Amino acid sequence: MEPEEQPRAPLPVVVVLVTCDPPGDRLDEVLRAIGSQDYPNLAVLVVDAGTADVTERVRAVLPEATVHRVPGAGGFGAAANTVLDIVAGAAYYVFAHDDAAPEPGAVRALVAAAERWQADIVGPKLVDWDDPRRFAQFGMTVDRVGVALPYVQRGELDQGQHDGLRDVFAVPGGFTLVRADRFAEVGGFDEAIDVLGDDLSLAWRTRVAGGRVVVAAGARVRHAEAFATRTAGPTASRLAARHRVRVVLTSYRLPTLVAVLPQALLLSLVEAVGALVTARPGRARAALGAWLWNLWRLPSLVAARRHVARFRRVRDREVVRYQVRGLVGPRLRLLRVGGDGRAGAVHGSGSRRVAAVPVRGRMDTDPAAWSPGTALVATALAAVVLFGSRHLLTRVVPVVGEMVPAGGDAGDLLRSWAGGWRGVGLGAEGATPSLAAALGLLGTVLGGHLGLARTLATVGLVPLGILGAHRLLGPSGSKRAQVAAAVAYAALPLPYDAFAEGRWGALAAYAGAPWVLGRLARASGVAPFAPAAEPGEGPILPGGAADDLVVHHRLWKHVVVTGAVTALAGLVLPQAPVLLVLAGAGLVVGSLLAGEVRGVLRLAVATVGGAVVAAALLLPTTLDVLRTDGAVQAWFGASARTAGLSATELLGFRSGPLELRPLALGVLGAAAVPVLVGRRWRLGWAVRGWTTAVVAWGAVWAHEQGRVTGRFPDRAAVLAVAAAGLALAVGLGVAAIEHDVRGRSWRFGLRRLVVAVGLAALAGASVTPLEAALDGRWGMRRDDFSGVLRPVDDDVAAAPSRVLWVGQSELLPGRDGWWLDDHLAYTASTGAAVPGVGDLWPATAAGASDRLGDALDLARRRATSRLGRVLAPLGVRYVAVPRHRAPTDDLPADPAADRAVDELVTALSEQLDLEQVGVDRGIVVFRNTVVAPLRYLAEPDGEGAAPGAAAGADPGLRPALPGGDVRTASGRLTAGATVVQAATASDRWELTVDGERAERGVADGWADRFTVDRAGEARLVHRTAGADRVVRAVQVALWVVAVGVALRMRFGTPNPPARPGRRRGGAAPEGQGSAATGAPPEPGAPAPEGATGGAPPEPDRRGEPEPVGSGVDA
Amino acid sequence: MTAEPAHARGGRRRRARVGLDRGALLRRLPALLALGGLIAAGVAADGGDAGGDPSTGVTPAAVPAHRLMPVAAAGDGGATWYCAAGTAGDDGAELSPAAPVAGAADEGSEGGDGPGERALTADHVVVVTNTGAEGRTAVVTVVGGDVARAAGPAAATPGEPVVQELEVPAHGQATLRLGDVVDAPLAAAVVEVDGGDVAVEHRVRGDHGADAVPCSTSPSPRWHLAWGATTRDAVHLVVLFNPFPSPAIVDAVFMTESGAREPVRFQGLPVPARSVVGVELGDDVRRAERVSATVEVRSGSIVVEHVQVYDGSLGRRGVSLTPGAPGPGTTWVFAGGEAAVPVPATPPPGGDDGEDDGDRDEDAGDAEDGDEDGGSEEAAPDEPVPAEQIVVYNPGGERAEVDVSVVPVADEPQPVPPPFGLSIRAGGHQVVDLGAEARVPADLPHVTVVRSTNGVPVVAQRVTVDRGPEVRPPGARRPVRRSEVTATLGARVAAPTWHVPAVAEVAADGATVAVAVYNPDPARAVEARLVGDGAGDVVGDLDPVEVPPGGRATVEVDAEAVPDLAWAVVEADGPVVVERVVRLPDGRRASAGPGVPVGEGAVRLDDLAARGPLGGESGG
Repeated sequence: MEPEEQPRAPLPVVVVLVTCDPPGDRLDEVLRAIGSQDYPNLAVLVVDAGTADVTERVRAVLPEATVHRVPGAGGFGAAANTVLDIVAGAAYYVFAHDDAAPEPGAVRALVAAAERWQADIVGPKLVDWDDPRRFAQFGMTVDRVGVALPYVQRGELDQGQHDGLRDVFAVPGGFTLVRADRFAEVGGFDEAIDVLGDDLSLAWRTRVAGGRVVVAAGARVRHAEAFATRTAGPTASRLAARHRVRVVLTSYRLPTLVAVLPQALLLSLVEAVGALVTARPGRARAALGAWLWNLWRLPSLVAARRHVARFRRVRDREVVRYQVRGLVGPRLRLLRVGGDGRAGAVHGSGSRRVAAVPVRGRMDTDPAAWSPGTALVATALAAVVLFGSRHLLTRVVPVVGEMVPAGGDAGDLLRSWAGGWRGVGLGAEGATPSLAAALGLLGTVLGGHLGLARTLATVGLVPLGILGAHRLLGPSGSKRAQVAAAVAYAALPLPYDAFAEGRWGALAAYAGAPWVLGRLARASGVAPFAPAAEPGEGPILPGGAADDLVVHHRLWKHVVVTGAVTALAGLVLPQAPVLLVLAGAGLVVGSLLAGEVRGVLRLAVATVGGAVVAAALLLPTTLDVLRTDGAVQAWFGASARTAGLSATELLGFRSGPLELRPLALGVLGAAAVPVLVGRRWRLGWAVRGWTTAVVAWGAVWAHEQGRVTGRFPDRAAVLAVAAAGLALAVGLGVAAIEHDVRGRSWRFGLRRLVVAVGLAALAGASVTPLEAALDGRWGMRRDDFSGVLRPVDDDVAAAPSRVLWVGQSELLPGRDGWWLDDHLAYTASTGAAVPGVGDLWPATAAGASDRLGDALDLARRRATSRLGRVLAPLGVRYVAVPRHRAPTDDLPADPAADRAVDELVTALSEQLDLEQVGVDRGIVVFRNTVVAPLRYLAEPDGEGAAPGAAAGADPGLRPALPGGDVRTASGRLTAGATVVQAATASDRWELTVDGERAERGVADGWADRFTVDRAGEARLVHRTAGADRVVRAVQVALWVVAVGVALRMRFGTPNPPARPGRRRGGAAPEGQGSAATGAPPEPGAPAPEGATGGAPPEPDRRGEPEPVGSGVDA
Repeated sequence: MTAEPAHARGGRRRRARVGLDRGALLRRLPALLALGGLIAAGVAADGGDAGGDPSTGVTPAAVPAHRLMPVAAAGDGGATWYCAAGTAGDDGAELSPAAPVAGAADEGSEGGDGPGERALTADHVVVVTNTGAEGRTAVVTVVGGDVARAAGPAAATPGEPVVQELEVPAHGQATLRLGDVVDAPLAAAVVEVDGGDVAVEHRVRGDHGADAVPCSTSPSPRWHLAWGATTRDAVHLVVLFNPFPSPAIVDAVFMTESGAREPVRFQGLPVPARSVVGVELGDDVRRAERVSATVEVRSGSIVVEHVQVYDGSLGRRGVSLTPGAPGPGTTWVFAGGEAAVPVPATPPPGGDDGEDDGDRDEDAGDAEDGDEDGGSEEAAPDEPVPAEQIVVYNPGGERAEVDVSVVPVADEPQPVPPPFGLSIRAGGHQVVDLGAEARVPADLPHVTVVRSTNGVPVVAQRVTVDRGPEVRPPGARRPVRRSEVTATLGARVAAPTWHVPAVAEVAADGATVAVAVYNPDPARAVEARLVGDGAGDVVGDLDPVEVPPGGRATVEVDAEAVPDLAWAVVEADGPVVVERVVRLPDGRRASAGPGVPVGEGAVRLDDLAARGPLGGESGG
């Protein structure tokens, strides 16, 4: 004490207890750091639990330290608890790991915080051992089931942004100050926890005892987090899981525990299943084994609970206040950070930011985090989407266009997919769309609620697409950019036009395009979608590693996931691989236009490979394409008539009934910002985004203007690729504002003018979704034909038969069919009034369905006035001609097509055996007065009765095998009967009578005919070919692999870093985060003043030549 | 944030230059130029390509010929014919007892069963003519029906249709009297033929005369009747035939001199499936000299024809069977035509009520002797006096400007009379009485072309009221001229081949058949001939003959010279319009109307007229 100082109370005695078990390499440095503390009333106790004596080593570095040897103490807790026996008079203990080196003044800061805040446990700011500018941990919280969550992002640069953080649930072990009397009261550490979880246990019990846990930002401690890795025996994850369960079981009061326990068990089960799916048996074993481990130690648990009960002073409600809410979210975050948020986390791997939980802090200073402004905009956007979907969510998604009904229950859909027989048209061997399986699976998951599954699969596509746009800009490190991209994407009229016209495929493209573009961008290996390519390239993102997606992964994984994302869209839009190629081509051309060759090859590989993978994941359909010409139509798009849209309309993304408004073009203005003011990767990727858009626009424009003929996907689907490219550019515009405009000048110059115009344009464009949301159904009609056709449905279901749909292809259920002429197309459903999901893209299964067209032609050419008699042997009970999409639809139709439909209706109404059934003004339905069952008894000559019947009479056909559905039938047959099935002949159909197979032949050159020798119960079934079963099994296996790869990319450990100096796809060395800065700074070096965004300040290169699109800022 | 404001860095960095970096601009220039250029090029290309919008330049789809008028199929093409109007019962169709007595009076007729009760007889016979070399089978489905009364009991529920097969030999014909198949007041038939080269005609015959027209080859949801009368000398039966399995609901609107009428019972009048329903127009539209009508079906299709019977009490006598027009058109052609005097006027409604029936013919004869307005040159007592008027009905919603052109086709060149210009309000009709017009010379053989000059489609019908030579009925005070009424729609198509069916049928009882062939081409002559049996032998004077542009050739078929001539076919090397005219032995036209064109090579007259005036028209 200096003489001139005022007398004051003596500082509390602090004992720093360093535990060695065994001592690590950093012990000497730790002791030196402790010795350099400026806290005067400090004693150091080294507890040596290892087998080798470290006394000499300690004394060599810190002679005043006391060494206490407790060999085989049984873990950190037990070793630390010796302080209760051998130390007296201390006010505080500091429990230090032998790999945690405090900076000078750390102890003083901890004590000061404890005194000031009356805290019982105070934790320091743990920073990276090698790069102390970056956080390791800084307090943590837990969810209800004990999942630990750090408050700060591992690897995040410490800019003081969290210095206001004070109350936390627990502090991570390493260098923890604990009030001595409280420590004694709670009995010290739980000695059953040897390592990992001891800190949580101590903090929880302290809170139960009414204590307080805080962190002190003024205390900085470098922490290597190597303590746990030195433990032998079970893996860290297994230990963490065991101890987490123990803490939960011992800390809650019984009533709370009863409520929490089932949730904890369930989540462990889910975690185990998830781990198994992602091929992590060890994690699954850890999740489930933790419970067995604790069950085995039941007496210890009971004792621990009794002990806690003795010092419990506060209710669980008080404790829970400091926990994070929710169960699933924290779990996912746990997966992202790895292990329990501490052990197992990959240092600097881009671990995920967690939400700031309860208290103060300045998380909004991080551009990658949600700020009040971005959260408000995002909330408003979500509200608009929800508001616009309200009637679709609360009522039903009408059956309009491609948005066909499920067509059965979940089991039917799955069987249909697995069966290899398609009932559409006159039936054919072919692959039922995988969408049927997906919808069936989703319906099964949802407890059989296929309607809900269909709603999710349609309405959910809009938010999915907007979320994709948001995620697309994730690597930019700017939440504002992400939100702007989402707003821009939502502002385009594409999805609302798609809803109005029932374009399910276009919606799928809208949902998938940003994800596909994002996958390609990540596969490119070009910043900011990949870590820095080389050491020394400096930081890419403000705020350091902002997203785990910038983690390096091998190219093949990108290819697989790109293909999987494409295939998901391909479930609804068969041309999704074509769109992938289009997007890839746009990015490649854009790269060249931006003057950057890097990443082009990877892009090309990802594009082509992704298309191949997508084709493989849609294997049955792909095989159909390879086998049949007709399937090509569905795969590459129908040669539908164009609307003659102009370039201006396409620039406004007009693809349907929504009128083009000048404000809608505002998105273009916003997207122009980065091209005008952006630099480096902002400019480079903006050019890529624009090029992608222009390529897509050009393709649609050429087709719309008739400059390109032939098969073409839905224009709205292609425009979705352009929309994603434009959203990318808009988001990059915001990033460019943050990087390249703000701070460059305070004067209102050209840059700011461009920015102002761009932002105003984006705001103006946002009118589109607001307008579309007003009716609550995005312009869809409030009703559909499935309701008015219920009697028809009942009729054809009761006695299996067909409904022939003919009309303008856009108005047909499924918006596709076989073409009758330039304007008219037809399709047919069997056993249901409206074709279902399994009947989509009928061209993939033509079979003998052209006979339906031939029959219609007879009527149109006036070659018959008894079309019903012609259709009867084809099993057609009804003919439906839609005039509109729905009963209340009033959208204008193509005039030429309208005339064609008029003529068709006239021709049908002039048929003497088709009775017009009045159901609705929007659809004309004719009932065949000639009995037309799907299976009927043939005349002795083997043909149906109707073709040979005398003209003028309507004899009808005698039904046979009345029971069953599309794929099976049963009934009693008499000896000598000949049964004809009005479906394309296939030797996979088998008729058995009392178990004996009937002779099969071909009737009328196209249908199956079975001759029965004896009377008995007959059963007609379709036998799935073995090869078909194999194909579907392979498809399932491929999906499992793809999902596994995707999950591992998302949650798993990144690939090992590329060797220094060896550039593999531009990937950065792992472990260096996104800011490989070369040699680590000197220990104890303060964080660089003025460091921004966790990286060295971006050099001011204004006026210097900048590498356009180089992908790096440094 | 990576970039901090310069001032925040303590001014360590120099102030940024305002505006865009020149270096950066140079680097972004290629992208700006390329992308901006492509977009601008696209927009510019839009501007130069006005044809991009498919909604422009779309020409209306051509209405098939068979929807304009009955058309026969050629070769193997089958066809279905709908023969709607006619009675089947021995007593004919009983009409409304509430209607004023009118139709029973005739020469020697005792009238109906009593005051207020009438019956209409139009015995319905279907004639199937096969001009081909292969025999055909025609399946005739006969449907019985009844007259729907405005008051009194509802029409009887139709019975089940009766199907009858007719074997039609090659180059032959088969006839079926529907009264032999069903016993019902009304009978209609659907004739389904399993091949082409067949024409189906139906004939009605009653106490006051006979008529024959081809059956319809197409139903329609909308039918127009240009002319009819409900004067007290007339019975006007509109027949609605629904041969289809769907019931039809019919709305109808009638236009008279006093305006539009929409009787309640015609708003939603049901026509059950596979049924025929007759409606006597006089029940609802009384005492109208001219009635036009539009029958519209709310759903489905029907076939509409009307039968008019004039009892001669007011100067007109005859039976007229006229198909409805399934749609209006801009051009109608009547290939035959001659007029000498005006069509006799009808006394005002009620003017003759209470007059003794027995005096009607005599009074009419008085009227026919030239007392009518617009009198023209009186014909010799031993010559028939033709009268002819053209009724043009505008069923649309816009005013129609119509020219009625009379094309002289006499052997000697004649000046072409200026066309009669009509301006017809929406829903209205106008009449041109050719015999009353001074610009049309009496007895001038002519072709009449009706053309809408402003594109508003109309329906044109020709009504003839020919009077025969003077005769003195027993007990009459002075000689009278017996009249005969025909009413026919004009032709809508021109074709190289026309069937002239049922020659032998209509030529019975001394009647003669004439075939008029009009060449509508204004520039090219066509060569035509008339063949009449399986060997392709030429019948009559058309052997072959060159028909000049806008000219007409007429051949009289001498039925007595060719007694077995069942049918005739006009074959030309270009599209022509053919009309068959059946004259009674005294020269009155008993039936006149277009033949049956063969669909192959047929062209719509609307299309021909759109290119310019038809042959012989003013300016053509």
